[in-house]
Amino acid sequence: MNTLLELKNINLTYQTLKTETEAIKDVSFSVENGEFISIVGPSGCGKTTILSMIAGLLPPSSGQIVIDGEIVSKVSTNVGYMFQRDNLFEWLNVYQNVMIGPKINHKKNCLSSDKLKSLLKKYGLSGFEKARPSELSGGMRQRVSLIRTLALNPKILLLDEPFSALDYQTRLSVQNDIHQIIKSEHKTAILVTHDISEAISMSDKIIVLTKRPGTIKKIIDIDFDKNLTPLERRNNILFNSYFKSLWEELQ
Amino acid sequence: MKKRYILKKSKPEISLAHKKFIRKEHIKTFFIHFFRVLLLIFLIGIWELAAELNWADPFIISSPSRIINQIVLLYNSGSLQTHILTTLNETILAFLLSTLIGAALAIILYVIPPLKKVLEPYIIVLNSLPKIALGPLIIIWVGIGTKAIVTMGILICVVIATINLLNGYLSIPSEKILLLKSMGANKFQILTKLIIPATIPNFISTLKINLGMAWVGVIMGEYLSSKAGLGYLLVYGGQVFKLDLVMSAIVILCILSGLMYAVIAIFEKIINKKR
Repeated sequence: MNTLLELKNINLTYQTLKTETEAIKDVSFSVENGEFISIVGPSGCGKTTILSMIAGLLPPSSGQIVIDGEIVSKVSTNVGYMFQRDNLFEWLNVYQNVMIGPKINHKKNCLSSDKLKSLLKKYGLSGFEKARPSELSGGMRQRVSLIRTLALNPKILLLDEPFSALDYQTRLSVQNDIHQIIKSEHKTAILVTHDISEAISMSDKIIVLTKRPGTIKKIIDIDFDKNLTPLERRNNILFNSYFKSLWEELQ
Repeated sequence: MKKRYILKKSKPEISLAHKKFIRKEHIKTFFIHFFRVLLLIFLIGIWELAAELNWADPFIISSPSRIINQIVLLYNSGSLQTHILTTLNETILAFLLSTLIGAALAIILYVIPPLKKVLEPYIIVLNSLPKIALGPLIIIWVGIGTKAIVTMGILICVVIATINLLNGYLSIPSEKILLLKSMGANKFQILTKLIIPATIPNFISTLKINLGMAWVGVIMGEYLSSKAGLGYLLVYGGQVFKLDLVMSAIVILCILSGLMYAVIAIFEKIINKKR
């Protein structure tokens, strides 16, 4: 496997009139192609800030972010961003929502509309292409949101607590769905979460951050059988020991 | 989930309880309409009676029959049409122009945040300034007649329209904007793909407010300087103490503004169906 993303000595300081706040301090890590990484840490430790910097929405104060050999300096379609809320546009139908990205980029480097239609079909949304987002369940909305992100054919997916707005039952099944979609489309993903079990059940590697200023406290490799789904992982014997060690790290 | 969607499209059997409920709701709405009409008839009746039996001086309070006579008189002399068309023309012009100018200003202020910050105190002052105070200036600067009246209408509408539309634009969740930015959208695309379609309900409510304000502005403008129009009739009727004329103008204004509001309501329904 080759390295797809590399963060080198990233620092970020927020400036306000009253004070300056060190949000991120000397964070370095790398992500291999096809890996699923989670970032966990106490609230306010700068998890979302790291994602914004990888997406090119926020320049780091110092340090470098390299994606596939290119230094990140602005927003690029190499990176797809999924937020806490699905942010579907209520005035567009499912298909039009999925087509927003390609339309903005004049269909350059995007998945074809046929490919998108087949993705919708493949992930349980056939017959809903013309439906309004309000007619979908929370799980379906999140899947539409993911396919919308995939439409720009990103190399890396950034997931910013995308399940936290869902109720517990839905969350478990959506975690399963999203994990399956990401794996079968061979995507690299970075998930930000404060849910320890979510991180263990989905990722290959977990980065634990300290409280502000966020630095890397520990990187834990998660080593389940490759074919296990997130739900199956939760029932695996290893799960509890991972949970315990992660819990202790976060105390 | 899928099944529910299909069910929604086909018509399900209506249960007896549901039928009863629907009947009850229908009866309720019928009575609401019934009492609305009844109230109108009652008020008109009392008014007519009061004038007829001299409970109050019909010279002061006029009466429904006198108003109808007055309107027929105006119609026969051909001046009714002139007055209505003059005012309608001015109102529609003021309404459309102020909406256009307001939307353009709101978009400019939204796209250039520093400009918004610079202009903020000026907008606040302009908004709270009673626009009628500008009357003498308007007459001297743009001249008397239609131009002055439409200008007054626009001045009254445009600040509120701008503020309303801008507040709508600013209420879009920042996450949605960030989403489009992360897809590489430029400012223009964010405006056309997100801001404008997302704020259509706000735009329609602005239209409704603007219409009411346009009426206020135009009648005020006609008070200021006019040779025809419903505002002219009001002023003239008051000066010569012909209250039948004043009341007729008010009744016609009620009908016209109601009709124009209905046009916007229909426009809103069409838009909502398309969304």
